[in-house]
Amino acid sequence: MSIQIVNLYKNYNDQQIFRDFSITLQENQISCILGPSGCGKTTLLNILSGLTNTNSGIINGLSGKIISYIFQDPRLLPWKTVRENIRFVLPEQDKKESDEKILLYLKMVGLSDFINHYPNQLSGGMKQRVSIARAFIYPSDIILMDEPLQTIDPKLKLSLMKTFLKIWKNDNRTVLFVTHDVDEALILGKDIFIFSHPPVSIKNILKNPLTPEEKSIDNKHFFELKKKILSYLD
Amino acid sequence: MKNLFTKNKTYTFISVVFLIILWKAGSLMVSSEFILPSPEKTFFSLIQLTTEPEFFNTIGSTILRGLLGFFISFILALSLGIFAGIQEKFRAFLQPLLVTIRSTPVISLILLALIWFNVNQVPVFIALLTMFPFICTNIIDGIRNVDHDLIHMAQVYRIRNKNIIRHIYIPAIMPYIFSGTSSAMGFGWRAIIIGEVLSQPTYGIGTLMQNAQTYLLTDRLIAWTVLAIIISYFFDLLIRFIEKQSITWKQT
Repeated sequence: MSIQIVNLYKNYNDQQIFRDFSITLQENQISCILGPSGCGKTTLLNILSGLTNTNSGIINGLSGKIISYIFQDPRLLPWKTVRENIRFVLPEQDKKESDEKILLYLKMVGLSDFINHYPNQLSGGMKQRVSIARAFIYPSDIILMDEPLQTIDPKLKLSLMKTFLKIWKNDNRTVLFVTHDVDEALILGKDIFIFSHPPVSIKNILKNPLTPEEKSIDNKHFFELKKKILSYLD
Repeated sequence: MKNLFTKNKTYTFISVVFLIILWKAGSLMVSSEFILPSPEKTFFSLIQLTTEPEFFNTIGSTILRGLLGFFISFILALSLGIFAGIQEKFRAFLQPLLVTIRSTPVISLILLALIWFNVNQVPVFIALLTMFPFICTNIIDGIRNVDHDLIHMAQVYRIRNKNIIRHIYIPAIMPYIFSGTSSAMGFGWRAIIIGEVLSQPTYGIGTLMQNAQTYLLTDRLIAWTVLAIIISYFFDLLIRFIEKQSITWKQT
């Protein structure tokens, strides 16, 4: 079942972020929200995850759904090792057989050698990879991502996005990915929603036509599409 | 790192030797054992103190009072501090009390305590009141400084409140508890001894300091002072040791 937000209203202090806003996110797909900073992208994720209340509006398709969230910053507990950080979020019944699974996911993000390290021994990019592994290992139905690649250097970013897609293909979880980076949106997103400044409206919805082979920054189709999207973003 | 450590230790040693030389020079200049006894005479007095039958009773009583005062104030500070850290209204209520206790001269507390309690209770009461605000304030700060982003992360991942307290709140306030305890103890030992000087319990370092002062046994007075410093230093080391054992992640 898709996730539908209908007639959403949300104010922050005096600012109206959402005024009669509606959006539908397809199930088992990576939807991407692209927009300038301060356009209410994080607010939308916080509403979906229950961290923020709405002023009014209806959200369908979320009841009983379990969510994992990859935040802008890694949000690891500094006093726990990588293994303990991941174990911490696992439900009781999954903790017993978790070690193998943790190692498997850490391998996928290339951090299996760091399983017993503390966060302060890892670089920013490594910590974010741990938080990605944590989100995927958590038995969720939906993954929310709030510009998780922002702090990661460009070279690593591309390989991390490929890793992300590889892990995602195992179970095709519903993903909502928020970014202001057009490249990230084109590589990861299936439906790409372009947001305006608040009060937010959807300026454009783009079905990403690129094949996996075309998802490369030096590809002609990729470049043309990027130019088109940048013109919407103005 | 190891080099730096040994280098620092060398400087500590030089500092102690410097202090003793200064002391010796002072005593030679004054040349009166009543006003400033020499370091070696004080040292012999110290050794002699340890052979006296009342020595362990005296030291033990003072330490026991300190620990009793500390544990009561610690438990009180922990429960009130956690509650005040979470509840803003209770914090607003508690804050003026903490400021008042901290700003009251220790001597006023002692004089009042002498009216209210018996001689053995006075030093404990003083220890309790001087230590409590330090620990309590630190715990409140610790709770208020817990990273809310981590709490939000845990809420999204449906972690139970019990586990949020155990795995996020408690480790986050640990460094605050240790720093509060360390400053509280520093003040606490001094306050207890003042309490003992004025209340004169049967056994206590303060009691014997007062006696030594009355009979102008300056060497004994300084010897007891050195012992008081050693006790305070020992507990400071103990706290640091426990802190190192329990907060391992910071050293990596």
